[in-house]
Amino acid sequence: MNRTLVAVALAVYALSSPLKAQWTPLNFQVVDSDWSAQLQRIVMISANPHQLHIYNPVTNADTTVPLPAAPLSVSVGPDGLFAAVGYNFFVSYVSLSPARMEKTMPVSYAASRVGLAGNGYIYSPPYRLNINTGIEVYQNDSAGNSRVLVHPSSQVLYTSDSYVYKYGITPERLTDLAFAPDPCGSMWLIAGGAKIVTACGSVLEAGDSPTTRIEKLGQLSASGISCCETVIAAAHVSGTSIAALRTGIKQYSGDDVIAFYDPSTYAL
Amino acid sequence: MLFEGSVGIGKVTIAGSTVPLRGVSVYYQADGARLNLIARSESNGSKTYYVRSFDTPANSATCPITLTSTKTQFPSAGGSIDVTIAASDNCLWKLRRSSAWISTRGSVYGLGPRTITLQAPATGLATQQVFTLTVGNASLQLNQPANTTPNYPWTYPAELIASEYDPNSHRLVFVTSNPDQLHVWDVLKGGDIAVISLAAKPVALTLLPNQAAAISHDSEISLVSLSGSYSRKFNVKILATSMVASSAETLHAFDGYGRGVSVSMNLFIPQAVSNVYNVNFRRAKSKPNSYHFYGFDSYLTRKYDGRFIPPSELYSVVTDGCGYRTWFTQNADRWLNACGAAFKTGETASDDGKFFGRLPGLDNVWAAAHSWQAKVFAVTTGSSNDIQFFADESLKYLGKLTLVPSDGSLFVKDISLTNDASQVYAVLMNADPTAPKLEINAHVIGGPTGSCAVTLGEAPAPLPRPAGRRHLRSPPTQVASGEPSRQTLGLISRVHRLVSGTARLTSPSLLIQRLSRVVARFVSMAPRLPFRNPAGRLPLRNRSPSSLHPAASTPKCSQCDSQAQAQSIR
Repeated sequence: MNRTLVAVALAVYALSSPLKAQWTPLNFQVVDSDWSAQLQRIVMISANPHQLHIYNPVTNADTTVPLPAAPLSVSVGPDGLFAAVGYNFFVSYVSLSPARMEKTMPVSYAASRVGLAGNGYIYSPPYRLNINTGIEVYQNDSAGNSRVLVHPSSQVLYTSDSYVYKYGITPERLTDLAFAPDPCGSMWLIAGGAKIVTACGSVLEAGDSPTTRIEKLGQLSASGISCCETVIAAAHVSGTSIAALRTGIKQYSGDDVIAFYDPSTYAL
Repeated sequence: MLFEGSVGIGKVTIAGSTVPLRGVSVYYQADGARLNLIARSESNGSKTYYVRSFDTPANSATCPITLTSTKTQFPSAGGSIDVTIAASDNCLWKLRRSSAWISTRGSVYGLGPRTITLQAPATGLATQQVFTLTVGNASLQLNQPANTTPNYPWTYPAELIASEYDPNSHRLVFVTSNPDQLHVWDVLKGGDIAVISLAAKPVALTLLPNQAAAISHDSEISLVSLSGSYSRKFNVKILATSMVASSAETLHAFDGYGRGVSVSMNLFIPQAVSNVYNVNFRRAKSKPNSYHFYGFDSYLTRKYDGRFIPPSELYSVVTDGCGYRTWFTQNADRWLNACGAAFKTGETASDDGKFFGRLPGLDNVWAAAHSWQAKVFAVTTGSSNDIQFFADESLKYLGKLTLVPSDGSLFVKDISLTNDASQVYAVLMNADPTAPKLEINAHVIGGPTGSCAVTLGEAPAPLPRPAGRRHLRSPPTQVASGEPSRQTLGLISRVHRLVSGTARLTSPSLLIQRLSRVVARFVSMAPRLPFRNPAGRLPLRNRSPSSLHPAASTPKCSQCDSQAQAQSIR
């Protein structure tokens, strides 16, 4: 009798659990997101309710941390266990495991982009914020606030506007190391920080060596893509193709696509 | 419809209407076993966000895949095979082909079960081709039998003058003398599509937009439709040795002695030939997919806007003096020259013509081809019938193919690669004007087949070259024998800057003073300037068969390691 009940319960659970092969709607609006490789979770922020979400994409389990204001940006640190959240005139430091707010610090700027480094600083060029002391420092020769990416080694910071900038991270200041023109603003560190993909589809040499320039390694193939389509987001880990979300191909159905590129040749 | 290598992220149904999803973000799980996406829909002004996690074949437990097909052999005349991929609904997979000789309709990526139609063109080869399909851990082997009446090698009793290959239409266009003809050759099937008689001996050839070709003769230029549907002749006052078409409207021709002439190709303008004008280069080469072209002369390379008559010089850069033979990469981001040096192209004088690197062990490139898709250069030198392959970014040696022509007197004149570098085509000729002969050879190099002939690990002794990527952007500090020293290049650069007016001088007297100083120094160095034989190679009539074929007895590689192939020709 008990076995039958267990079997029925399991069958009901299996039928009621969400199908993997479907999109799961979220009950919040995603403002910004990042990935914790350590926890294998998507870290998202939402406004109304103001929350940080630590989301398991496999089980769809969502762990939330209340935020004090409408957030603008989020950055997961290199260890994958902490995140920085930027607001208008505030920056929060949040633990992801366990999920809890560590501290929120007032700042003099709108933290529309943040980059959490492993050296105790949160970067929003031209500002950086000491997490321990809450003291912000302005450095007028650091540029690029469309995107702020901290290399996993925390030795180097990449920022972008109409250029991609590479800065060396030292306790005292950001050191200008290199820059390369790329007009598209957004970019993503892929392959463990070895490369950058920009919204224009350029693949740039990244890495954490202070002597390496930002060389253009290639271009994600534009085959079948008209001139003005852009990359929305990109990801790549060892042994996989570079996955790039691209805006709809107008000459085809117009739907957005995941395009997969050879990590060596950048061909589709 | 999807383009190859993509998957649509799909649509959702909201209140009975279907709404497309827009991508927001994408993240791989660290082991690559899952791909996580965030997307959003917009309906009546309200946005809804979604998350989905796809399985990938990296996780064989959640993403098991099998490949089946009712047929495994393509007809030698070409045909298609349906392959069924059985996969779970949430499994995101990629179909890999050992050779792009077989193509698909649509994407090679898929989600869940699907049937893919693969096509193979007709083969003109005497060897069977074997292809391996792989999805995750599952694989399936297909083949295409040999053509029982193979068309390769194909020989023809004529003197080859020039050839050009269009990898998109798989056509090799070549002109011959004795008899004076233009051939349009289908490289896949191995046969002439059209043979057009020419009224005079051809000198140079260039392919034009709209399926046409321009052929120069002494004091004449012919425009010929590749289908043979029309031809036009223009009387010009030069013997053009190089031509560039910067648009479908205008053709510029140059004689190698500083004179040029432009021709309007508009069919409605009869005999529109410009006056002869002077140019400062010997040989012109079109930048692919651009109205720009480069004029190469000794150490100066000039860039022109070809939309004007005469062409408008944009700027010039100092290079290494080996531009008498050049080949652009398919995507036009670099050019390779006769000394095996690669230079980057750019849009300004400061970033154009920058030294990129040198093919190791080569200082005399006779013919070259590039595959952007496979990222390889194929190169042949005048000293043997080897075709050597190099990675186009690192310029590392990958392997070689030793051609064994049907006749020992034949040597490689030109080579071509298919877009994916799965096949190489070589045009060979002999040096006997009394019994001219040309031969077209075809070889499969991209797949693990018995006909592949690339042998790895036989790198020629490298020439000294600067180490590290950082040095590749600046001119080499050490140059190969016979090339100008850095001092010479610097001097030429200074003269050039003075003449072109980029040097900032405050008065005419200062200009004269500095110019005279530089010219005096240049004259004093003149005896030390290196001499280079522009042809860079022995005159054909002086070459003995043994000098042409030192490796003629080298056996073709009959067994190719598929893994090594994959590494060498990607």
